[in-house]
Amino acid sequence: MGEEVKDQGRRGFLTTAAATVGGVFALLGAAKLPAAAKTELPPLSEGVIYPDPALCVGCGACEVACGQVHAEHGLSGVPRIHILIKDGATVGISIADAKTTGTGGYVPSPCKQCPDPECFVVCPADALQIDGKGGARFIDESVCVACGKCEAACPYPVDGVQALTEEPMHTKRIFFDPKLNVYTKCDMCHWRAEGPACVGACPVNHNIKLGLLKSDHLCLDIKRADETTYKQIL
Amino acid sequence: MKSFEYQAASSVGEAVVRLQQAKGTGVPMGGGTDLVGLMKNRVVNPELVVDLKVVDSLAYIRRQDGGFALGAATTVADVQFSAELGTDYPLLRKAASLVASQQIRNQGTVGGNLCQRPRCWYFRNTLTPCLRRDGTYCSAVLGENKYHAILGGAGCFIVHPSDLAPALIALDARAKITGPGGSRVVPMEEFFVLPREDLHHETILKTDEILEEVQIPAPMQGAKQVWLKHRIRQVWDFAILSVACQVQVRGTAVSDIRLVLGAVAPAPWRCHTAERLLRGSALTPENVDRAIAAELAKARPMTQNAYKIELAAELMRQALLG
Repeated sequence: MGEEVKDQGRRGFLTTAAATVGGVFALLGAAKLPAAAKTELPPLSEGVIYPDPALCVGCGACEVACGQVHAEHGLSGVPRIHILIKDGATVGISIADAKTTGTGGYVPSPCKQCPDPECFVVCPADALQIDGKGGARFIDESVCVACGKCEAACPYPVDGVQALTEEPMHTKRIFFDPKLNVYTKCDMCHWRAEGPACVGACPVNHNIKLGLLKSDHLCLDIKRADETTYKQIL
Repeated sequence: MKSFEYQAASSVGEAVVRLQQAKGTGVPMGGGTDLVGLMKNRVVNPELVVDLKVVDSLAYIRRQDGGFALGAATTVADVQFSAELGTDYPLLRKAASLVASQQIRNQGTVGGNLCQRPRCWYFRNTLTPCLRRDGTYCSAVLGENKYHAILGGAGCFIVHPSDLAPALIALDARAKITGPGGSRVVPMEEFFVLPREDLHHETILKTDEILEEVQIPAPMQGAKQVWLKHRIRQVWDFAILSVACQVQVRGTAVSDIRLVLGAVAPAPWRCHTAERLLRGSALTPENVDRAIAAELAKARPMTQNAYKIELAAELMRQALLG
């Protein structure tokens, strides 16, 4: 999308979509309605954080960098990505071993940037927004009323034990910040020129890029948010 | 070293004002034994250095509220040789006497020792990426990490190098912090932060605040105080692992205990789990081992530092039962 496209909230989007559907309806007639109605879905996110649990060493860099970068940007410092631990996992295990066993023992669980985000639909405050450039679904914390409807609507639970705190985690992929009294979620760092902070801070990624580790893909990657990718994210 | 302005502060108030005016580009300096090295290596590049060691009113050891107060500019050697402190706090004297070399103890200050930066070789080498220093990524995760953290690491795996910090936490000391808005006193344990709280700093000090004083309460009555430090070189070296412990036994049961590990985490590690299990229990080998195992169950060793788990267990065992 072009630079001139601005972020749009649910109401703004639906208003635009309704006008578009109305126009199409008038031109093509009632028989075309089902096809035209598809335009009510928001645009796909161009990217989604794509983790590979087989490569994750559980160092927590993604979690920490996420919180830090958002806090520096004046947003909630609650991490939007969390690493869940499996029994016996240690930091910095050999990637070769991880590939043999099929998993490094850690599962990073970011937002899936759903094609039809239910959080977007239920927000009463228009806080759920879609970035006009990359399509990232994000929460405008300045208008969030902390009602929790987005979290309740998120269809993807995160259940497990957090690697960094060893505390159980039974939540969705939208998180509450009690300090700021807002909800927050992965926004793909859409305001950041360098891209998502978690992907940039991952030491495994850098070792792969430097050729020190052999892998045909990165540990934390940004993939197109198509249906295949969406289904593969744990 | 990049050029900088040197300011010999005449008072704490002046130091705070100068740091405030520098808007984050100034740093306070105690003895400079750590800071100057960081500046020479261009890890830290301040435009203003405010020297606190020349503030006479910051170098003192005095009795206060049944305990002691140490000015931040008091040298480590003064702590080491203070007869009064040594009588009440043998673990602090021992910790001070094992800080680096005598020359460094003569120059280094209590405040500087508590606020020193990590010794991680990736942090100190500007040619290698470091998540703490410049926010790229942590080289230690898949690199050389035999001296790194087994507890509390997240993204960054430094260990806090101070010897005095674990000792002071074991003694329930408090830190008096002074800034533009006045002074506040916080428990020494809360003076330090883990990476998940602040990735780029080891303490809660803001850029225009200084650590002015360390306040130590009276020791636990009749308590055993222990300080153990494991290092590779027996002459002078940073700790591979250290244990500071103050334990009070009434009858056969532990009535109070403060157990702190050094060099295992990005901040001095207070063993709350072990303390909770030992409080009210007899100090038997079985109970001690159970408490140690529960504490170290949280450890997440890296590729080369799993040995620290056994080392920590053994040192804690020696501290509690020895």
